[in-house]
Amino acid sequence: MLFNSVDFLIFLPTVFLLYWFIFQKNLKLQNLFLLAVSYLFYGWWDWRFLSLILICSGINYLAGLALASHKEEKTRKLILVTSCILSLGLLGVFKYFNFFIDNFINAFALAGIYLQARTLNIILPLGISFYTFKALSYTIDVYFRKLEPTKDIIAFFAFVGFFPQLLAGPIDRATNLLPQFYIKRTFEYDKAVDGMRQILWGLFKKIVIADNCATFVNNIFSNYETLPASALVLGAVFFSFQIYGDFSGYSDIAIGTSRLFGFNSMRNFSVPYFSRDIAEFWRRWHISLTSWFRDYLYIPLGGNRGTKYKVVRNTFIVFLVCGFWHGANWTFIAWGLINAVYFLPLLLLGKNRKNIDTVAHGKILPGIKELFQIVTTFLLATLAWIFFRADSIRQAFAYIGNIFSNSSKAVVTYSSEELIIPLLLIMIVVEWLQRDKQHGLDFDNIKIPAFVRIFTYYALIAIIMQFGSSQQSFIYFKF
Amino acid sequence: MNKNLNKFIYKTLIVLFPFLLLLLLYIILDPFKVIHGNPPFYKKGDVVDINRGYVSTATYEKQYQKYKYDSFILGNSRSRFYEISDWQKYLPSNSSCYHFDASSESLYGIYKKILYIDQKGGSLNNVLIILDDDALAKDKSVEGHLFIISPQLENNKNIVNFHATFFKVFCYYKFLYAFLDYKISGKVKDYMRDNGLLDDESFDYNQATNEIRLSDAEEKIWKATYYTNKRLSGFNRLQGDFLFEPVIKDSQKQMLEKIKQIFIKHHTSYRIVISPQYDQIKFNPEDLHYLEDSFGKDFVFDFSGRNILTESYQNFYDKTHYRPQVSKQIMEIIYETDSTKRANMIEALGIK
Repeated sequence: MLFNSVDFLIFLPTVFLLYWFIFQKNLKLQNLFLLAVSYLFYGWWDWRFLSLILICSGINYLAGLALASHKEEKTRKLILVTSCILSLGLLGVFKYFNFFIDNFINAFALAGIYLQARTLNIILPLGISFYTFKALSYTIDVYFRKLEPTKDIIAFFAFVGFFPQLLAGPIDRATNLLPQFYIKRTFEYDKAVDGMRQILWGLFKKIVIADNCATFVNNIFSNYETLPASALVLGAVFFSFQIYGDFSGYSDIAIGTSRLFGFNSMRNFSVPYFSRDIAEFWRRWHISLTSWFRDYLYIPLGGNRGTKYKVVRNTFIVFLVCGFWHGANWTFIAWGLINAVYFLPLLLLGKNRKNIDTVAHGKILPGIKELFQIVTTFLLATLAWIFFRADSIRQAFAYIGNIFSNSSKAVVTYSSEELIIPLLLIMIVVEWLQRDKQHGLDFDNIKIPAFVRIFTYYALIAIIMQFGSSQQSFIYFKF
Repeated sequence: MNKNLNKFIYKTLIVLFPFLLLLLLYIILDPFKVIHGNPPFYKKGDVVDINRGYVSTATYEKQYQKYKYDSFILGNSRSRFYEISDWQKYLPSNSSCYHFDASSESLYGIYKKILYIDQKGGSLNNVLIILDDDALAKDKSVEGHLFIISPQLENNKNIVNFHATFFKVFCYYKFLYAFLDYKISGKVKDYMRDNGLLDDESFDYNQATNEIRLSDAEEKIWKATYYTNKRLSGFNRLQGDFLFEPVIKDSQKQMLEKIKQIFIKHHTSYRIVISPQYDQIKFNPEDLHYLEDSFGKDFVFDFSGRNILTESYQNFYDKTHYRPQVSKQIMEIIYETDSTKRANMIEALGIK
């Protein structure tokens, strides 16, 4: 079920009312109900893949229990490794099997050996990377004794399958989310209102910004060989906004929905396009994934301790794995590699934590230097996004090449009917003004007259209804 | 807690009130006739374009027991101009014919309609399928309020999305403004026509067969007033020989196979026509061979590409819709039982 579908429009209020009016009486019922509706939400797409969530949840639940009953480090390590292999094995089979087979055959073909092997006709189960990483975070934290293992199977399965986060995150840590399943939730008015605002802002970003940008982006990337340079630049810039609107919009809806049910979910985006360098960008983009890699991969590898060689190696490993996590395609690996190249100089010069505060804090506008840094970072990210969006590395290079070789052609113009640029400006201005808040419509501690707030809601709903493109699925579902 | 919860629900409803009001208005007015519409769906003075696929399905549903339909013309809007009176000449005299078409019909839609008739226990004695590259390429339900597949054909699985699609169009400010303006003034104004919001062009409709005839357009053609400069400017095509890319993939093959199975079950006498189109782009031979292999060479006919039918604009209402005179000629050929004579007729049209 998509967040931007009518099905969800009916599902959400129905579940909300049942949850608070019928199932709020006891914790077990609340969790059981959440588990049931989460599986319904997932099964709406294809119920057969529920078995994968069940297996993944089961593996990590049992691993937690096994870790609790064994004190010996060697055994505990074996349990952890087994759990990781089984969980990642599922992910590997369903997401990467064909990629490895194809590349294996191609590698032998280069040596003149032609192998006959069959790839499998596998459908990528939605959200598999997200719930696998979420479940793994539990086992790893239990192993490192950061978290007490749970015996409450319903709470644990509900944590892994929690429907707002099931398809595209945030990849909330067990340390943050799981304990919330141990405590009976009570309705909090302010939290629910803020959740609704965040959902509204997320819908605006997804339906209005991302889906409308997608129309241009798809057209431009399909015809990049014949379009002028200006169109190609515009296509790349629009894709930057498309992927941001799509994914941060999804995250806002997910977090807002969680809040409606009394949960506090971790933040996933923090105005990444206002970053002053790539290191800051990566602290603000897909925070739940980048921090997952930082905690469970980068730091265990040694982080930035040790020789420069090790720091460089660790950085490259993390970015390559991060790229590969996004999909079984060399384009994602190239995207990860490019970002590693961007990131490395800052790390080696010790400037990777130079910009950790909010940009232009306490000011309305950024300074010229800050503006230059923001634009440069945005353009660097945009260049890398071309690889992310392209069908192949060859296409990405050809696209970039055409930006320069096609520059003599006419400048592309769009009809004034296409309101995407004013709509983009609305998003940028709102997010800039709210950059130190949790989301675009976070009105906490801001005195806004009621009529202005209501007008804002009406305006956004009207814009969503008028300029919303046809229902498009979320880019990040396929990861 | 309940006090806070009630306050939250109350305030949410207040915010949503204008949109709920709009929903109520939509339900009452039902401009697309998908809520309380009943056959006949086309009435004099109607100005809102409605979903032809829904009309065909809902009308069939209401009437199939009365008329005991056993012969169907399926396809997109190009199939509409195969007139039942012409077709019946080639069918047994007791045949009961029905136009089961949809706008921008997909192979998926055709497949679902055949399946639906079969599941309803209807007969499929004669079927005429009008295909082209576009219809064959579409293996899923088409988006858009004029094209979305009827819920009846999907076991009501898409009913929510189906109605939401229409409500969304109703809420579109340009449509809503034009529609309310028309409701108040009772007139279709130029801006409504020019923007394709409302349409007051008339046509003849036969409820029993679900057939549409553009009598006004035919009359204008006879009076030489139809092909205005504006209309003629739409008749354009690239010079040279062009070929469509192959479009039959695994999903299409599966649907075609199932269609074939149903035809075998019903001992259906069928013909498949690849439509002539003014752009003269040739249907892909790979796809044609697949259809011929599946359904038999004597039952699949390709009229696309350069030929006499596609040469003159006078064979067309517009670039993509050919006139009944063309359909009549096509039916003469496809129902010719003498294969030598049929081959000569095809050759005479310049079809290679």
